[in-house]
Amino acid sequence: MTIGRREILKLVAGSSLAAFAPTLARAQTVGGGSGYRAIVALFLYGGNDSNNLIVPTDERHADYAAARGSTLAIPQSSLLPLTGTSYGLHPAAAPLADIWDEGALSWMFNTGPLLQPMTRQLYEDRPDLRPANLFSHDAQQNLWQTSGAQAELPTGWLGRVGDGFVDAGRSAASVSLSGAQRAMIGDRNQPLLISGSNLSLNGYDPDSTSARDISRRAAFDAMLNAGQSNALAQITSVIMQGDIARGAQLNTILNGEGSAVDAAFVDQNGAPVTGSLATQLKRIARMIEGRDQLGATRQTFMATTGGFDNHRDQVGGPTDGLHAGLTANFSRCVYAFYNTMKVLGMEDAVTLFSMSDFARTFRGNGSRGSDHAWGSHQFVVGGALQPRMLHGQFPEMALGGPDDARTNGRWIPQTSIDEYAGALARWVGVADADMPYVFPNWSTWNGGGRGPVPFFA
Amino acid sequence: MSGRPIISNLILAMGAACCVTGAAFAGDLAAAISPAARSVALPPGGTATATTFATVINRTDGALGNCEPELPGRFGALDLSYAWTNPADNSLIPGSENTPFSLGPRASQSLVLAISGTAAFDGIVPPVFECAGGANADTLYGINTLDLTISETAPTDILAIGIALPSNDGVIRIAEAGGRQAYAIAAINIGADGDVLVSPRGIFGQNAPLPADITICESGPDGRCLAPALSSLTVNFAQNGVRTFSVFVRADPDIGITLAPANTRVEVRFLVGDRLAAATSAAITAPGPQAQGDARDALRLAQQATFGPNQSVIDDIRRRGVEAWVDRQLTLTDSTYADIAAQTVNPNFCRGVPQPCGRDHFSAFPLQMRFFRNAMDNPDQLRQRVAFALSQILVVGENEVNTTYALGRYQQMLLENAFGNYRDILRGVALSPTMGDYLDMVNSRAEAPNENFPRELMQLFALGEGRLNPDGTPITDSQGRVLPAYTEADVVELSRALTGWVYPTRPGELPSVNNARYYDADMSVYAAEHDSASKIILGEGLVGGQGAAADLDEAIDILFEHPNVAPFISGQLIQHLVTSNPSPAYVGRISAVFENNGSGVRGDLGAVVRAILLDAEARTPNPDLNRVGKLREPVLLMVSTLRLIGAQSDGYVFLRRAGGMGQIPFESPSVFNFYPPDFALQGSDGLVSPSQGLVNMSSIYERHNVLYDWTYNGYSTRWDWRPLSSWPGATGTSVNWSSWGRLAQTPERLLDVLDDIALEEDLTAQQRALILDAMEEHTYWGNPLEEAQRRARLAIYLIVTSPSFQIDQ
Repeated sequence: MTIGRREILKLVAGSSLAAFAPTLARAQTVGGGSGYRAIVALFLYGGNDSNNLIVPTDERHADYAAARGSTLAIPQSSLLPLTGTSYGLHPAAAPLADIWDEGALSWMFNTGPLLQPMTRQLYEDRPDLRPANLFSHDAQQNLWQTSGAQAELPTGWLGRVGDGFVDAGRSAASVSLSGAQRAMIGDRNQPLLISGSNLSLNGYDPDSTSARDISRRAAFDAMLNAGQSNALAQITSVIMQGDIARGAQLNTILNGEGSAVDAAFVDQNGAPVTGSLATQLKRIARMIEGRDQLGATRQTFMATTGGFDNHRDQVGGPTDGLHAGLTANFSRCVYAFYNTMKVLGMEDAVTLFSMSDFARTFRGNGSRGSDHAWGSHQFVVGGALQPRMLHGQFPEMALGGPDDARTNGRWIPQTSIDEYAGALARWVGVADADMPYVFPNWSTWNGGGRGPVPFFA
Repeated sequence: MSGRPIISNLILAMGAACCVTGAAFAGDLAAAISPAARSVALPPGGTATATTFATVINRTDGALGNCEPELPGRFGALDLSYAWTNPADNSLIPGSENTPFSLGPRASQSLVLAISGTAAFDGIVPPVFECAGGANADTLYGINTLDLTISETAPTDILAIGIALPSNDGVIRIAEAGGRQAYAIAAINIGADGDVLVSPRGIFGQNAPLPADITICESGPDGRCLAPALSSLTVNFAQNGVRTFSVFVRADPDIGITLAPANTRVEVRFLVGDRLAAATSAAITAPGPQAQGDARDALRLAQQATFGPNQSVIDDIRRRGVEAWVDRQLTLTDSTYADIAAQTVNPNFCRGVPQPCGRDHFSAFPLQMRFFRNAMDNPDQLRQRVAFALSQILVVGENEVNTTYALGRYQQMLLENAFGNYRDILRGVALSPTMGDYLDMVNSRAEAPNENFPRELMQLFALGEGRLNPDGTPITDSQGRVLPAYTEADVVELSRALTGWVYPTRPGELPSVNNARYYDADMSVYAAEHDSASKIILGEGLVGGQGAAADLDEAIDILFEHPNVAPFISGQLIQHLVTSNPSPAYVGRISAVFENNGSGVRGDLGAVVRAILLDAEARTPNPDLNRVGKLREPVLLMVSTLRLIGAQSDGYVFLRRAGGMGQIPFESPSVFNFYPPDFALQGSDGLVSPSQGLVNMSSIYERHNVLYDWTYNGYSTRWDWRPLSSWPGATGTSVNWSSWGRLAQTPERLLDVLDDIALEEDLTAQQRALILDAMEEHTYWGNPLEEAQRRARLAIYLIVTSPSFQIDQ
């Protein structure tokens, strides 16, 4: 059988066309009122050791040092005090401490995938209540990105947020600057997936009037747009067509002159911040800057950086080792992004938040590194936050203790991804009625003392 | 322009006549010119004239009137005049100078053409033969064009004046598969004395070599060789000297040559230095073996089992047959990394040493260059494809282990075992210091086992996350939940079993707990760091106290015997070679071969690969359109394009462009490969498309731009085709477009060929028409050869950038 192009268009491209159409005057089913809002997901691939990102500085530091062991533990004196709290940050995370001092950063303690509220007893008694494939990279990345708990879902929660935006006629709802990411895949929402800078076809000038170019374009288009005999080829070619059609407009925004972003993307010392993650965040900032050209009013973005799977050589001294370098990089990038939002006057309309596969085992392995764990600490950055808040419960740092799923400090999360992500989804504009669509397990996490984490004022 | 030359005087200098050596095969007229090249001297202040003979044939069943040859308008500096000749002896028919002629149905007219100029000229002149009503002949390079040189100094000007063929029709007809044919040619030097290289060559459609041996000798009056025949020879040609040559053609017994006068020819060229002084050619045909397999099936197999189809591969599959071709591939071992693996160096070898030391010893670069060169050229294509698949299942990468010989030793293990046993691969991977370094099994100690390798060994290399039926479908509980293949406890136990390994002990040293980084052997045991208590892995016990080596072997056995391995590995190999969404039945059939190759052996990858390629689902011409299809991953897209067009490459060009599409071999960002095997194709209701994981807006553009650059923009001076000067033996990349240009002289024929060898006959009539239109619009005044090549490059560009080429059925 042949799948009709029209049917496929309904399946895929219908939404892609909608994603780029000017905002339609359709009834809004999303809440959040008027004005522009965006959330920016920062995924730290490999499992960030957040146990060393934020550390108690009070008497609990002794528990911390004893349980982590001298190899991994950061001495109390090296930690950067977090103003007004009994916690300190990794010495490489000074830029985050500065944002905290500005009142634009909050911490989320010990969050992760959960099917339902979980205790050590329940973990031991009821294997069926454990999230799928705990401690595995790709499974846990997928749970974080899809908000599945029992199984990895085919679509991502950011993609499903985008579905609602697409339904409401909003443009460019979901954008990844790190290529294909499961988090961005929705049902009706075709995300913009970008990984490099060049969004123009070599040798293809749409304005050329030479007969040579016109005839070549006609043949090129006939080849590109031809119906394909099988479903996979048809869908793949429709994606190619959509990307080629949309690239030209984006190219101007991402690479054009006259943007304020590049000059604003600097660290606390005013030095330009560069690198792969910086490039992604700068492009996000440019799209936010160019939101009117895109007709965008509600957006979700994603940027990623990797290298956090530090099974060895995670720590050299208190301020060096692999994890220190990674922490310094993402902290500077986050600072520069927040600074850029302030320059653009968008800091209250944009919220950045972190995600990662999992935290790492509290007790290290024999290779100056650590292995895969479960619950992790995350941070949220933006001007709309209640200032200087610590949310959630910090785990009791006892190996084999009540917060440990096993014996080497794999903390059982006390706040679910749904509660963490749900707060961000609500803020960016998902209506209460749509929350169960975005978070299939929402009924478990809404009500009865549970619900979206109160990040926002 | 001066007056017309007196043709009759010139004829005398040319002696005996020549004959028509081929015919155009499209158009209402066919025309041929011989000789096909002339070099003439320009007298001071005067006019130079070159003559040649032409024959024009009416291919229609109606009479045509008012026929004449003329030069295209762009050759304003040259002048063409002509006269009729008697075909029996080429004598001039008096009074016929510059007189149009008529052609009865299927009749022919022989002519002498005189082309004159008053200035130096070097190029190809394509006379247009046209009758009233617009009937004309297609321009075919070398058949009805004249390669003309007018120079101010007297050139050596050879006229190939006779070609004597037994068949009398201008065609070298070889009677049987592998048969021989000889023919004679004569030539006269009507220019200055000089050394002349006489060199025959075969022309066979696009860049494939003519499947025939061709040799030549100079012969005496009796036709006997004066010296043994060679592939070419140099003779000193005196002015007005006449030489005769014998040409010997022996056809390849395994490949037939279909009669296609424009594209299957034997040409003898007379070269003075780099200048072509004369050329004469004849069409050739030869029968092939009886069995000629289905062309579309051969194309599909070439997509599945090689780094890209081209005419030679498809012909090879068709003449051998699918099964025999696969069986032969299973025996080939051309490619190797062993020499790279042998270049062991100390970790500080390049300390204080400038580049390229680091590139050559502490990066994947030498291996990547070899990978691409092998993929372009080596016959053991299937072995390479399977090794490439294994390198994407059992991943190591430069980002964690950058020592060149370490990466080489690991990839050589995969290449050698591509058709070996999967247990040997699992064991080789577990003991490899390269993997030990990559996933931290090296120096994993009893007191705190490192879980990295043990977890991925189960999750990625052997079992997968969920339990599988033999057909690859998940096993679920009563609530539809997939049952896990292993538990966290299994990871911990396996981690304990795999403690106590250190870098291999260097020759002459004693094993120590901190053996230095070294990769030229399997890892060594350091017994004190092995957890020697008993373990339970996947429900099976390892007894205590038996040592690291025995624990490792038994653990590998437990994993290898697990029922998940067959569907988990078989399914991924099918995805890498044939299709992204194999049916459960297909996976089930291949799993069964993995379980038992028919001789009771489990894990025989040669048998598995053979079964994958010969399975009905791989071979059917009528696949299930709801699940068939596979998007070419960047490496395959790039290499298949350059293989299609017949590029010569040392591999560097791929390394310059692969990064933009996200796939540089041996540089996977993590052990999870460049893309996951279950990447969901959005909007497909359940299809996966693994390589779609590398597709996004940017890479879509980059895919187009790379292909554009290498075809439409494929100039020999391209930046990415240049050789890397610091690389020994660097050649860069080059494409000889001339045979494509020859094919493009007949645009319809070019599209037929491309449709056959690149597209599975997907071109619609509308697409054909638009491509032909675009080719027509691409005119380059003054250079018909360049024009034909650019038209060929245009057509190839439009084909390879299309979704139909990028997605295999």
